[in-house]
Amino acid sequence: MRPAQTHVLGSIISFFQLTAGILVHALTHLDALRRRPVMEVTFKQIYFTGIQALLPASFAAVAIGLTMETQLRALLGSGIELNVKMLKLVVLREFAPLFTAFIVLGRSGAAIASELAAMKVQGEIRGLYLMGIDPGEYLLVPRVVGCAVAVPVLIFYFQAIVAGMGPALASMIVEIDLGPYYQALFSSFTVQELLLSVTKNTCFGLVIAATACSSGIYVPPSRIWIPQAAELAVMRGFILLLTTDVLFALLTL
Amino acid sequence: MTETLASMSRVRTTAFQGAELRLEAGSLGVVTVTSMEQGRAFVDALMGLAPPEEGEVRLLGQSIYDWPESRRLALLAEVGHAGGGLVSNLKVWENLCLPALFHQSATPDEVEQRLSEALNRLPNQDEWMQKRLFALPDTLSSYAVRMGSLIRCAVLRPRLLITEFLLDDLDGEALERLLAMLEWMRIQQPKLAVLLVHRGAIESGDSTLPRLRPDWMIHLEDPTP
Repeated sequence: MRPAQTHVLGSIISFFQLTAGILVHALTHLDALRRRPVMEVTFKQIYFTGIQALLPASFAAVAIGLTMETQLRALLGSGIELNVKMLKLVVLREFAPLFTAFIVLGRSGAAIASELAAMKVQGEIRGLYLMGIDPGEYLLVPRVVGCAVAVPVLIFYFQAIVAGMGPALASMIVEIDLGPYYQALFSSFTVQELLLSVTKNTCFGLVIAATACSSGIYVPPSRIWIPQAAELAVMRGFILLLTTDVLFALLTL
Repeated sequence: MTETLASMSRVRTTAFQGAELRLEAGSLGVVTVTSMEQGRAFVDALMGLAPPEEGEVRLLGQSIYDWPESRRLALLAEVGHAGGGLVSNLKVWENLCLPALFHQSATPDEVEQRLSEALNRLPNQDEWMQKRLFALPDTLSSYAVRMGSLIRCAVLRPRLLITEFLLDDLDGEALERLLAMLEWMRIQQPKLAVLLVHRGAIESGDSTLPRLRPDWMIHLEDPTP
């Protein structure tokens, strides 16, 4: 293998090791949430990741719900069963979680990575450590837990708007009998599907947080790396989210 | 009988050599270093962050590397020079309360009480009293950041306080106030040991020396090549 290939492979392996290490560290130090400052940062993270993303998520969900519903009608005709199946499998199960995760990755993932990179460059992480504050507990646990809580809730909100408002708005453009449509849609969900969906969405949250934290915290101590950390977090997160989605799709075959 | 908090015996690192010290509860010491790198290497060795090439560092009679990390760091507090160790995305008052609340060494009410006691030591015209508590640390002057990191230690109440270049490049009123705060902390906590890492040799003409009244002072030697 050439030196350049070895270097790239080494970087990829190292990134996966660091990201997995952060995830394991955060999940094995959940008792840090009993500390008041850690809990406060966790609430802030849920607010930044979940509540502040409501507006862009709402807009995207309404637009996607309306577009998908009208396009499905045009493609599949007025048969309720086929339309509901397509909406559920393509839009609600695959598209909505990925799209919401990309919104969170672009907002919170980039913010977390650049914030941690700036703290590292300015020596604040060392400062925390020297005050006896474990940076893993204070910086990583709240971000991982915050994303793991906020992302599934935000995705559920996105799915509810797509499923609820999409057909309603589309009915103003194309003919849809809303009563039977909603009935067929909601009766098609199973508990197993819901549990799998929650699991996948939580994994998306964990992937976003761990990727952002590893991209931010392991940068060299130079200012030039702060924006690059954000860029790395988004690109790496994008690839890892798609990989996670593929794995879940294969699991449910 | 006096309690020895920390000691160094014939410690040598890549940045200094021959460091010998014995820091007792309630004492105040000064270590003079020739560069920031040397100062940082000294603090790292004393806090158990970087093992020395030679010699031994002990904390409360036990090798510093035998202490569990969390217990070791809970006993020590370091006040850094650059940024004072304040976290830039927390408001100033959040920074001041953070270590004490994190270590759960005091209830929130006690933390509030300690903070107000420390702030009451400052004169009304001090920058700290100008509603800066609700600002972010990057709005503070170099003096105010250093004072903030001292107040944070006054709230935390560690056993050993190590300051990195706290008094460097300051003079006049700012220096007086920092020294007054240090003295007040020592009165409040009679068993608190303070170690000032100071850059440049302290000579008889140095304005900070008479005020510091060090019980002892060591000067780190550069390593022999």
